[in-house]
Amino acid sequence: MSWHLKLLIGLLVAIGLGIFLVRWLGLGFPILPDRDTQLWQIEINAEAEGAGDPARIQLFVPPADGRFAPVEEQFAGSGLRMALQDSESGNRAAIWSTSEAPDRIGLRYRGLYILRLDVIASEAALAPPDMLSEPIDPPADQDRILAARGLLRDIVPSAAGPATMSRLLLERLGDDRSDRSPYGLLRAESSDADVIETAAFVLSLDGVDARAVRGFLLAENNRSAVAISWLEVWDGDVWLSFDPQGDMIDPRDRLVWYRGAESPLRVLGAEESALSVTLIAQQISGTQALQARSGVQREGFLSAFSLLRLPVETQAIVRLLLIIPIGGLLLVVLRQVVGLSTIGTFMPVLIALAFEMTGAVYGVLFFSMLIGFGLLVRFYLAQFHLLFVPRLAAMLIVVIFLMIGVLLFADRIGIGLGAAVSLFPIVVLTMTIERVAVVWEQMGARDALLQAGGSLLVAVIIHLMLEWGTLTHLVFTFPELMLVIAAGVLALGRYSGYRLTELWRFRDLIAKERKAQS
Amino acid sequence: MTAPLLALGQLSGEGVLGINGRNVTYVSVMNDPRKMRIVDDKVETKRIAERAGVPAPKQLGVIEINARVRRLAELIGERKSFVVKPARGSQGNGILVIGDRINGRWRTTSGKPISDEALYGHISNILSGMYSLSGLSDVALIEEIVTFSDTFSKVAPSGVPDIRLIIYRGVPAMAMVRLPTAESDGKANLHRGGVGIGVDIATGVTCGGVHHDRCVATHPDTGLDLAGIEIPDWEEMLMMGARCYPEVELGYLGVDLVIDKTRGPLLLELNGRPGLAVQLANAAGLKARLDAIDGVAEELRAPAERVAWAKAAFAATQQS
Repeated sequence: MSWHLKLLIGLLVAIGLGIFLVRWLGLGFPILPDRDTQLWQIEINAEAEGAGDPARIQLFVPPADGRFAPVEEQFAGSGLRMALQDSESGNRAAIWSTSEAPDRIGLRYRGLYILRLDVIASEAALAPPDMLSEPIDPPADQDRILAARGLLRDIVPSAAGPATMSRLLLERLGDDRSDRSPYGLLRAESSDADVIETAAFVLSLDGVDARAVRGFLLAENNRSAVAISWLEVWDGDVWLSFDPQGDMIDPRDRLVWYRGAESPLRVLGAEESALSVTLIAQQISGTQALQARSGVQREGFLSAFSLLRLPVETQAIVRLLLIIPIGGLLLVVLRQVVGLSTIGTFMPVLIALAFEMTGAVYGVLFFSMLIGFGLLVRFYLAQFHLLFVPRLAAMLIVVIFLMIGVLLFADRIGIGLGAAVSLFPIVVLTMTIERVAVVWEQMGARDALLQAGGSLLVAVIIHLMLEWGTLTHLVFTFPELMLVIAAGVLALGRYSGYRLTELWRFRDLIAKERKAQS
Repeated sequence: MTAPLLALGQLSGEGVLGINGRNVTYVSVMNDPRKMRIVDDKVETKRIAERAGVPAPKQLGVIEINARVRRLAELIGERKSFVVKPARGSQGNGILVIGDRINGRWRTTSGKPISDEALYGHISNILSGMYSLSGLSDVALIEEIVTFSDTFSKVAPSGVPDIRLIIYRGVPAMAMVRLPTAESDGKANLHRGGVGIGVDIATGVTCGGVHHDRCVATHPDTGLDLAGIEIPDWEEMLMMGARCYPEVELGYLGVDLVIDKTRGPLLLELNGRPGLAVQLANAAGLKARLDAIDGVAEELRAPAERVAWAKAAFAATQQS
């Protein structure tokens, strides 16, 4: 190896590792992916029709509660004044107002929240009732109170505490939602929200601290999230949560919107017309989490260069780009040092990237199917002695037909892999079939299958490495490690040692040596 | 974990050359890529042979474009036997040896009938680059057939036996005979199932062989001993190899020869990336010999000096 190459390799390693160490130890960029933090984006859109009066609109927005906290918020409301108000009950409301009489009001709230999975219970779930103001009950008429007391008399004897009582009460209320129910008077409607509010009302008559909660299930990519209600009951230590069916639930997979029996949107001087909520899980990296948790946006060259500043969609592309060099390095190792033979130089890397979409099992299955069928057609076409380029074009068409076939098949048996399969690089597949066929014709089936199998094996190994979250996190958070990878590739470029497979190939020479020694 | 390490040590102790070692230490340093391109082209190889004064099979013509495929008849004239080769083919791929014409169809030397149409199709495939190293378009070479001497006909009755010399810096370093087997379909390529036999550089007498990377003593088809066959004109063969070197200037060179019944040894092709199975055939490491040549290469000027040195240095004294 020349000194020039050594110098280049040394420089690449020094610069790459240097920047990496500064950013890791100096700036505190995390080396491991943060699995304890999730990032959620909530968007609430409200619309109202002006009624010719000055308007005032109150919209609840999710509060911070120690587990869940907003990191970025945007309030947009067509020229209206906005004020944020924290209520005593722990709710947070955005209040838009105008002295003019608007025709049409469109309001939008967009908040980016971090969810810390490592926090077991939120502050609100631990705060004793006297810290919060009593829930404001709707003014109750006498009949309703009587009906409630009747219900309590049925339940209280068999209830040992607030938890049992809540469960029994919710079961009773949910059991029979017909108007003929003796407790029908308790409710105007029979929605889950009403059941919960009624339960909170009944329990408060018995001196049990209970409150209704509205919020959302944290399911990934809830394009149009539906608000759900549940009940919180104080058992002396902690607030317990019950769903409208009376089952105790773990509220940790839910986002609290607000507590109380109010409407999420209150409009004065205009007609409420529409309210929609979306809830989207965001890709988050350890560094974003760190920034979000510490609330510090790091400045300076080394962090300004961070890929985390890119929009989320672009980040996904960069993530993919950054793992390709790792695949390249792995390929170099598997071919030069291990000595596996593959079809086409970088084809295994491309196949591994296609596996990202399908997963290894379906990927190998579909790949083998496509190559297998393709080879059959290719051998059939061989008798016509077609010229090279027309034959390739014919195979391209065959591959596309096969892919459509696989798509239909996948759809038929109900595997949602449509989009994933189409990501198999069509041209790569065509060339692969051609190469396998040529190897088959020239060197026999054994070599052909060996090379095709080798390519698949290499693709699967590369795929598994790329699936390893820590590795992809590392190259994404520390893109300077690319320089180290480049140095590794360069170093292996002058590797003149034996390949592992040569230990097998030259085994008789080794055996001879052994005999000579003994 | 220690077993592979031990094996590695033994390989290196034996002076065995691995693929990476060949590529990094020899091919990439000693062989200019432009010159490798020249020897990859069999039409060019013919010219080199002429310049070096090395005999080669007669070239009947070259077919360069598809429109000329049907002019094959003009090139071969009255001959019923000839060879079709891709000029830039590798490892014997795409070579068709026609031995006869029976009932309006050609017949390969291995007895497979081929219609005119199939033959033209084959030439078209060659032109389209199907067999060429880079996949780029190629030309087809039509050559006179070689009538093989019967040196090896007893051990391997059919197909094309050839002799591979490894010429390092003009000095013959190692040699082997490659014999076809039934499995290799008449071709002498080792990876297709041909048998390689080591040759004593000093005497031209064969020793043990290799088949599918295993050391063997007998031919897998005939069961006859591989060792003890004396190759005729051995000195001349070594000289042919040594004479090629100044013309091609490839430090690490494979020279493939065949023996014609009447013309004697002929240069078949040159190879800028000769394989490593020759080590198994000779049961010896190539690296050790290349290192030895490195020590004297500067002093040896004429091909005759190089051949004489090699015969003395690489005599198979340890063979019993």
